[in-house]
Amino acid sequence: MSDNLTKILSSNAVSKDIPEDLVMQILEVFKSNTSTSSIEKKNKQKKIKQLVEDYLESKNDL
Amino acid sequence: MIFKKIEMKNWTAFKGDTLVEFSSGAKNVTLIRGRNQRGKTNFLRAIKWVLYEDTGDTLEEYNSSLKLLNREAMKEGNFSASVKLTVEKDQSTIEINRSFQARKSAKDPKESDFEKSFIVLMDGKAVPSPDKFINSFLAKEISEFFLFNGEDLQKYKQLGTSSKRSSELKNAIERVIQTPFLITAQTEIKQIKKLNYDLLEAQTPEGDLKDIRARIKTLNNLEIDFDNQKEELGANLKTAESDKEKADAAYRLVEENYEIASDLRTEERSTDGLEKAKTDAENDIKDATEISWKILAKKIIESHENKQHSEEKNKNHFHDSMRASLLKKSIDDGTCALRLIKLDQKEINFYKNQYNDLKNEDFQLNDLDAITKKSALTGITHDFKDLINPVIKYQSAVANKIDNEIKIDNLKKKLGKSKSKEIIDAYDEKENANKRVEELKKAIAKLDVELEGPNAKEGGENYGKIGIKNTKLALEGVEKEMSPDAKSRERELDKIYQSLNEIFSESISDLSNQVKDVILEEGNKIYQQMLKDETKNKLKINSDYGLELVDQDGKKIPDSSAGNQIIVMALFYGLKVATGIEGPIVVDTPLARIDDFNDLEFLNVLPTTATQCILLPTGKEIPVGGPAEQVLLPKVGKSYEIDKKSDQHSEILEI
Repeated sequence: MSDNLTKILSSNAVSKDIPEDLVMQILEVFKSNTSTSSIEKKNKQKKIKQLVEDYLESKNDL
Repeated sequence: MIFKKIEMKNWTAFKGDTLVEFSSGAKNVTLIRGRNQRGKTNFLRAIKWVLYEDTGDTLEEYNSSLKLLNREAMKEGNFSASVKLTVEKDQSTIEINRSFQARKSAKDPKESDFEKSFIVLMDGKAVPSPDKFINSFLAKEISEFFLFNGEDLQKYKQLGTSSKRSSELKNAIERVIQTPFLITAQTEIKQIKKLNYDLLEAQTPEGDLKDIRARIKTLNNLEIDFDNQKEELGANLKTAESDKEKADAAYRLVEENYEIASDLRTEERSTDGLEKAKTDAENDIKDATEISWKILAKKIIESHENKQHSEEKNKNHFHDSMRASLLKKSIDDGTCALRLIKLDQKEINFYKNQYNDLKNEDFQLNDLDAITKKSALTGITHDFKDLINPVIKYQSAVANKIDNEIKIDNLKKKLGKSKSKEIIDAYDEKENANKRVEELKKAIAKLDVELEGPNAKEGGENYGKIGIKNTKLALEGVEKEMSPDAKSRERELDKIYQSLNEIFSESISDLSNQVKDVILEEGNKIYQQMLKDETKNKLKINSDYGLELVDQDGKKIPDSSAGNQIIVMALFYGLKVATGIEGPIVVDTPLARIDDFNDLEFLNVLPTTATQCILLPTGKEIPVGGPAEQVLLPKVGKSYEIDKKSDQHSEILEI
């Protein structure tokens, strides 16, 4: 199933012109920590924001 | 992944040690037959319990040690039970051991007296976090899709009925295919996107931006002011140091005479003071003398008026110049100077005679001896101490003045051609230059302290140079966020979040659809194989993963119990294929809900739905020598019979 999920996410990422790695990294943030506490939720949001901002910076650097 | 064997000790009805080896490969069916109440369900419970410490029963008692421990063993004082399942996975041997036993001290143990143990070995080595390890390849939440009771098949038909059970099953399926992670990711991205959008849409009043920029400008100016002040002080210090060097050099030229010049200046400065002291002393003498004379004069007048003693007394009491001056004034005015009465000629003549006598007296105002002598001569008792002190002061002042003049004269002679003023000026210039340098150094040090701020090294203070720098950085950050460039960045981020949101949203839908497609395709295959349906009826899947039978026109076919069971098996199989679950299925009373018309096909197909098939039928379901057994036999590798020796003692015997 993991393969199927990866394939589906990759396919949709490519169609939206978003790197597959970014999508997988975001998914990993939620898979690696399933806590729903408000602190953890904020931490996860922070990580995702950082991932997206890093991506934007690297994109603009190119 | 296959189950190799299970070893039970005092587990429920199975007293003592029980070993069951499972068949795999081409003959992947293990048949364990037993009549009702012999222990089939307890055998299934043993597998669930060893894996998850949960027999799967809703009744709590089926999960208590007291309930699971064989009663006969308990009566014999044996209070321990265990189940060990050996699994082969990816060429590794996994031994899952779970047991419980009462504390040695417990003679008649209660539930709380039992201690539990759970150990998993992989190729002989203990696995850390064994629960997590097992869930990684046999997740508990999907266990009901491969460890189940045929009697319960009906419940899966409830999928899509909006019941609580339906919701649980749907959630379980979605957990297997990891949909919740996608949903959580999408939800959080939507939230972040909203926050980002709020930031993007937030209006920045022009005034705010102007204010921020003005504050940054002020801080910039403040920094420049500080720097300028320091620079100016530095320049002033350089000049002062240069001046100091010159002044020092100039002074060194006259330094040897400075002491003399300094003394001279001191003497010259004291000259006026000494002169004044002398004058003051003279005035004091005059004042004291006048007072003394007045006192004397009064006494003289008193004496003069005393007729009885007039001749004698007047002769003795008249005194010097005071008397003379009083007499002169009285003679000139024709009036007694002291009594203010008109004098007659006789009196005037008398005054004249007295006056003439006194004219020849030699009297020096500052001559203490003469005063004393005169006082003694007059015979008038009078205290001259008020006069003595001023005279002493006067004499001292005169002496000091003379001494001063001598010193000045001597010092001037010592200095020769050197000009005292120039030497003193050089000294003063040197002192002032030094003082100026020190003052500037102090001012610079003070400014440095102000620049750094009192606690600047601790960081973060909003004053001093570091404070200014930090505040400026913070303001510049705000300005950046407010600037049109920042908005452009937010817009770009918004687009990315939008794309991510769509990716996860579409992936949830795609994943669900893909799983449904596989379930439907594989389910229909199994359904056709099991039911041998000649009609063109087929399965249709609903939004909650529930399967239902429809005719070729898509019209729903009324439910039938047997059909429902086959539909559910089709769902299981489809789900296994769709989710990639690998492993055995263990089915208790597999034909419980399958009617006689379909049982043979069902049994024929069932072993193909899993890598390993462990069936726990009753003798009625699959009678020895019957057609059902005939269908299964080619695939059966191991066959067992559960024999009951007593109510609490069943044995599993290999046939």
